[in-house]
Amino acid sequence: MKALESTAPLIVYIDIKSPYAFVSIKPTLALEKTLGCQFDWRPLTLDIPSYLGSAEKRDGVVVSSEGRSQRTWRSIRQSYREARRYAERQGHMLKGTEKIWDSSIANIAILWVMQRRPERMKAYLEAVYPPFWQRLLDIEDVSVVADCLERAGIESAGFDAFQQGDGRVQHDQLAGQLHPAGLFGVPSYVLDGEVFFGREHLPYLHWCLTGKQGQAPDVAYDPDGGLPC
Amino acid sequence: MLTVYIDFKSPESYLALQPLLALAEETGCGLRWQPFRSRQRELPEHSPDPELTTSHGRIREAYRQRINRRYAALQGLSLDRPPGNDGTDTALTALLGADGDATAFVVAAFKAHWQDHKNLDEWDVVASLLASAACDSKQLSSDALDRHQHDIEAEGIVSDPALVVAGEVFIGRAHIPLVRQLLNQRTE
Repeated sequence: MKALESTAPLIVYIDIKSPYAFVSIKPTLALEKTLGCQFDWRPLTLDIPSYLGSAEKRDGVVVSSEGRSQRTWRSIRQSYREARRYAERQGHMLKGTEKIWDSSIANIAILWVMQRRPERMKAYLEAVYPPFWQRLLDIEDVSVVADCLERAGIESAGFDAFQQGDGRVQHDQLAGQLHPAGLFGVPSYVLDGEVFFGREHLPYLHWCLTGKQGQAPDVAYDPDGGLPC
Repeated sequence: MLTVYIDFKSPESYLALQPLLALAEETGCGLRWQPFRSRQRELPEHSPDPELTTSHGRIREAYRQRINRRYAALQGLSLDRPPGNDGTDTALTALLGADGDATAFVVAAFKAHWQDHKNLDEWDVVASLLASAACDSKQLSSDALDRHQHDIEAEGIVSDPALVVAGEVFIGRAHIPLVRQLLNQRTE
């Protein structure tokens, strides 16, 4: 798998532990449905401490923090506020996480779904994202992720072996290609080999994927997570 | 009233100018322009993988430049400018001290920086822009800008352009559709 290449019209990189990816799911799925095609959904497991420092909370209180300045903390809090605002308008709850999760198992499940039941991707994302952001899922537990797959109507037999074996190898090989390909965050979209970071580009991507009719749109977040216009 | 925090040297603020002016005209809301001294994105002081940290910062910055140029082209704008001409504190201090509607000064200052490549850290340049925009500004010290920056960062103004409506902060012009809804709700 090459980071910028696909037979699908659009590659979508996401990470289950990203609140920005969470609020991008609804409008991205809306675009996929409108276009009547299958996007190439892929995992991009963020190494958050490498660019935002690390922290752990207990009962909402920060108990440890490393490498984060006050300015970084303010930026993170502001970004969460904005993501929460849009999540609420989409009908979701978004609770700040208590720690930086290892989301690799839940992200390898994205590969599992794409390789077996890509048409069930929406169901998997809906089974894992909202409960995780309500702090109801331990996504580091493989049985929890397997249960999400089953609830999405996707066979999970063999998933544990996949996430430890082939799936982990594919995930790690992809991760090694990300920076050289210009990919650094989620959600990221790849159209004709070009990277677009953030759901604010969905209006522009929609315009490109529907024949570039009329004036090209500027960046914009749909207030209610609907189809990018 | 929509409060907007900007920096004249920031491409993100520049790209938000026309969409914000259009929003103000469409909704009839006034724009209260405030300065924000933009800075480069901060990297963590201690990283488990310093090489990855550096790589992330470099790739993110390259992306930022590329994507801004793409959207600038859609607006018919150029983001080319002479290297080193990025001091804007004098113009930002003038904006902080501006009386009344500073829109004409803001438009003139963005044009001076990005199209005419003038130095917005020179008082003569800024005074000329204020005069041409018929904008009065109290002559504040640079300390006033420092204090303002300190205060607004504590309030969550962490980047630019920052849009504040009904006490709620939104960073970036991508929020304009939601801000439009909020402004319309307030006038209904």
